[in-house]
Amino acid sequence: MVINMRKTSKAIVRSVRINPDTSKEDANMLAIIEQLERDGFTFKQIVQDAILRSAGHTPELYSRNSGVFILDSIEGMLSKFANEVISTVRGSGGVSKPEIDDGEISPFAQRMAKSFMQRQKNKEDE
Amino acid sequence: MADFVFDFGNARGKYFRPKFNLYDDFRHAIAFLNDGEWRNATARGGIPKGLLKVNGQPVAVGDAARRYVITDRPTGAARYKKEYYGIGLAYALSEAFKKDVANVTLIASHAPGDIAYAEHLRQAALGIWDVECQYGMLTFKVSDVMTFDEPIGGYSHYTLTETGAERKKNPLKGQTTLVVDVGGWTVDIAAIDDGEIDPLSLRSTRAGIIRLTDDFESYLRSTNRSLFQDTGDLDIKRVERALLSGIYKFGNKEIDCANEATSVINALVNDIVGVINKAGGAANYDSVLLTGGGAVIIRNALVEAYQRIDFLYAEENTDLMKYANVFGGAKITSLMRAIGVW
Repeated sequence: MVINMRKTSKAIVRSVRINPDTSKEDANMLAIIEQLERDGFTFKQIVQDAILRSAGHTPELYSRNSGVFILDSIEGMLSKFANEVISTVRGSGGVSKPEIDDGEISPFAQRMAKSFMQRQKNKEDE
Repeated sequence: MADFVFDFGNARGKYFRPKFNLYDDFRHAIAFLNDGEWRNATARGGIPKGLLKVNGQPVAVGDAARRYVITDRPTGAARYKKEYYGIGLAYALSEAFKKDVANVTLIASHAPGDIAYAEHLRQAALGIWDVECQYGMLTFKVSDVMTFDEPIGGYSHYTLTETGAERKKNPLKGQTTLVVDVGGWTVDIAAIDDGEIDPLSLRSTRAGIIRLTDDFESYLRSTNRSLFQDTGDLDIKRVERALLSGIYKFGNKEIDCANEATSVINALVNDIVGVINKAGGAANYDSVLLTGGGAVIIRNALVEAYQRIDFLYAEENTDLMKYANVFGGAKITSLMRAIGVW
């Protein structure tokens, strides 16, 4: 695991290079991170929780048992920092990368929608 | 309002919360417990993972159900009852949200062959679900249910963005595509011509991964009798890894099972070739799009069987292929909302 650091005028950014192929500990750590991200935690929350716990600080905000508060916090963060958090969460999920579209529905999508509606109508007729 | 996409497959249940990109799956196994079993299981305080009461009925779901006797294993549309589908759904909701949700919009998938029972599925899911589980007492109200065919989910995931728009540089634009969804109990197909779904092509065939893994396990046991003599059910993830690698890891021992794996995979591939031929044959399509968790296991053999066909995969990340249909369910929902129908 290699840790890099850089500073901007407003924040300190640290990045970590994880090598699951060559390090068992890195592989285990990555598996745990991915599971926690699937549970709804951002990478920053995971790291912050671990560090604060190890320093003996009570992890009030980031206790893994207070699921209701955590998800409420995530919703609050999403409304305030929507683009940043969504891109972080999407990066962990492997869902197709977001594409910016101009809001128009293409002929392809229109055909899909129309034929899908017909299929739903057929369902009702069954 | 919270969207929840759910694919209660015959082998595994998969779910997806699009707003937070949260997804997971669980073994399709439900054991109904009596009060005594529930008391025993919760005697130490707290409720173990996988055990829950749904509207007062104690059940074990997923891996936890393996410790109990499962008396009823309905498949296909026979599951679409509150007492079964509803329980699987309640479990998935509790795992996905871990808190009360007052207004769930369920986007539920089904095999094409079950379309006549889509309304049964809808009725099985609607209503209030009180869940007592490891996360406490939770209440979910499923107020709306939309349904979609699983192959259409796979196609949607491949061709649409999360907002329901056509993806840029859509590889299937202008193409006649055969979608092949390899599931646990059925292989489902859909022919889609440049986005237009052919309703007559949607079909389910009884074949799938469950029989493949059962046959593989039987072969493994029969060729290694003394080794497996005292083992119970094999862990399905270990079995799937063995199918892909040809090596079954039994503790510190590695069992060469390449021949057994090849044999069972080829049997399913033969079934799938038959399904494709019934749909007109691969040569009649510009593209064949594979979706569903089973596609990962058989794809190399399928490519070998059809060397002139380029097989596309609804999800590039093979670990996430089993979620392709639920990911697509969210996308088709976005499209239908964008045009104002849903």
